[in-house]
Amino acid sequence: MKTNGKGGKANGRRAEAGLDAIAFEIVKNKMLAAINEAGAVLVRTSASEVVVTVREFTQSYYTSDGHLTLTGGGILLHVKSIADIVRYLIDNYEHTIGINDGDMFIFSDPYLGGMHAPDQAIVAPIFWQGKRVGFCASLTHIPDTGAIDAGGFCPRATEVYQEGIRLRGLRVMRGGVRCDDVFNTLKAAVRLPDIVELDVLSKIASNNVLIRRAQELIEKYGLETYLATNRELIRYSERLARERTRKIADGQWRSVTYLEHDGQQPNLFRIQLTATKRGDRLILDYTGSSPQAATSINATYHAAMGCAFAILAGRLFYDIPWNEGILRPLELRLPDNCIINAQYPAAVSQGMPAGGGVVVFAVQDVLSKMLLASGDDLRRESSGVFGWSVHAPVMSGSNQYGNFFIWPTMDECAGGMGARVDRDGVGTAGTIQTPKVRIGNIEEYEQRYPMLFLFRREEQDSAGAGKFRGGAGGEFCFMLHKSSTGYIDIMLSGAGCEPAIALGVAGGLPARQGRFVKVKDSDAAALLRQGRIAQSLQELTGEKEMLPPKGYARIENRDCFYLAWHGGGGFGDPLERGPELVRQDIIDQLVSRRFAECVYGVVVTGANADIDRAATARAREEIRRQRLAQAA
Amino acid sequence: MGRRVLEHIEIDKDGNGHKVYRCAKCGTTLGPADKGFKEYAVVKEASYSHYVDAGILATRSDRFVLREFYCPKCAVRFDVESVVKGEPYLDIKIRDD
Repeated sequence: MKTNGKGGKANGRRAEAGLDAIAFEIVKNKMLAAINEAGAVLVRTSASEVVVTVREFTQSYYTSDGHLTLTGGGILLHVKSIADIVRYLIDNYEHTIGINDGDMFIFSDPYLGGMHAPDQAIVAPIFWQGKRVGFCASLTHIPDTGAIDAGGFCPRATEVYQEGIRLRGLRVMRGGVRCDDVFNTLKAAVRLPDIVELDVLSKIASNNVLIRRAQELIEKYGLETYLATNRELIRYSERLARERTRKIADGQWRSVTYLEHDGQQPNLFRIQLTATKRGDRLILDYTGSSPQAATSINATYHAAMGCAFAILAGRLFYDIPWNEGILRPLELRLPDNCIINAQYPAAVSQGMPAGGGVVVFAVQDVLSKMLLASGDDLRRESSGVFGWSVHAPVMSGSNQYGNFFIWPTMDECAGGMGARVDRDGVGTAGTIQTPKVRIGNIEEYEQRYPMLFLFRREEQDSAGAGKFRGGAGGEFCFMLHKSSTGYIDIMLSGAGCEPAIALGVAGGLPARQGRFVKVKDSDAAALLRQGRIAQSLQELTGEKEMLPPKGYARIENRDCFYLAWHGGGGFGDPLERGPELVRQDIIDQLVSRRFAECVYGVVVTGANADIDRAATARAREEIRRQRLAQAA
Repeated sequence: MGRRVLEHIEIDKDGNGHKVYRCAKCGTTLGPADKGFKEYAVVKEASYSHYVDAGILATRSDRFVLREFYCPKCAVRFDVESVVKGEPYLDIKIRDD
């Protein structure tokens, strides 16, 4: 059993002695501004679409002994584990190769931190007048790791050695000078050397901003104020997190989620979460979860911890500075050798969209129910589970210019928001754990990759139904177009294609599952020549193959590829939804008339979708009668 | 009003001072609170295929079911589980003292 050793007695009740409250606020907010500025630098200097367009990155500050003091709204999944990386750096290199002013160190080992090998962090010490006063770090998802599969998600991997280069703190900058030996080695190990090199340089630039802004704060407000603010930030967050945790109802909740495929076979894996809340402590216990897999769907401890951090930060502690303090009320219990605490050298490259990913769903599920049982101020924070298809198809091949490309598709991050206790979820809103992530423009995709998109939109009937419905999920479909080799390969890294995992709460229904579909020998191009663009899968002819959530697919000329991703879970009984709201959903094409009648018991007629109130009353009564007939 | 467990489930005391589950919508007493409230609910369990036919889910599966829990009096839906067949009920224990 691995635990984080937290969840114990509060140790941060007193504020930092002598720290001026106004100075604390100023320094805290300027640190946050520096984090946002460093993110902007990444966007402007990287060449990787997952950074520039999608914005999958994070920056953060750490104390001189490696504790997370502040992070912004990037990929929240990673920031806690980088603290473990910083402490590894201190423990292993401080008294050996040394950690000096102007040095930076590169990491990408999922057994040290991050989720999988594509998560690459660069850590830099912050010095002031010859003394180390803290650390900062920037992390991005790089487009390739040199693994057996392009992009670094590897359904066929059975050991971490097959998943690409793993870096344990190589010094990429020495005293402010770039280390070409490390750059050349890294570039030789990956498929897209120029883009990966630029990603490394952009993180160095990002860290330089974080360092410079920290030094400016020290110069203006003094070293003691800066250090005291960093120490106090963790205590401050801990105090607030414990106060909020105390307000949650005491009790125990259980959730079970599943992985339906291991990359090779449709084997089923179970992730069981028992959440126990007592006073100001929260225990997340995964005892009862499946043993680790022989393939790459495992998550490391860091991935499981990162997922818990991300959900607690985004759903419960959204207005508290995000740092280690918010984790101090939490005790995480992970059995050894389980699917979300895999032991080295197990393959883990799909650990985020698989084992780790479903942790996100499980924590949301129990948290929603815990909040619902709490006082009114917390009850209103309850919601259905946010959609996030945890399936990222990674596409690669030769584009229309004859160049090799890798595209880790991230559109599935635009999941539907879970329904709230008093309102519908926002459609294709995004995820909690990646607050800054966005999806790209179709025109950009078509410019870079050999594809023509037939449609991308919110999917009708995709949201979980309820008194308040979840936000809609999305769908897109493209046809291959002008690939210089006539095909591209897609590595499928999905979950939630069989089990419905974007659950509702309090009688709300789950959102539809995600799907991958290949249309072989479609007539999409022929329709285009006739001036028509197919607007649904049904309009396309060709052999439609439902692809597995994990594995491989090849898309050739005349083929189309379809992806659907999750909406959010619903809140409350759909029979309590106002018929006028259902009618508006029909008008907005978010809900079909058949769905409205079957699920909401709302009958509409005519082109204006006028509500037939008598028929609606009869339909709802019939649904209730059928429900009670179950008892017989 | 009793102690809320879910939107339409609460723990309250009956006329004898014993803790019981009630439907918060219609007020019906479901049973003693020493067991999970799901033990007293009307339960509908059906395979995913049933829900695909209704348009609620998109993918058929023989392994998974949705399990719905209703008030036996007013038929309001208390909760929904998405589980493999045979999974024990996902219980909730609220400390109400």
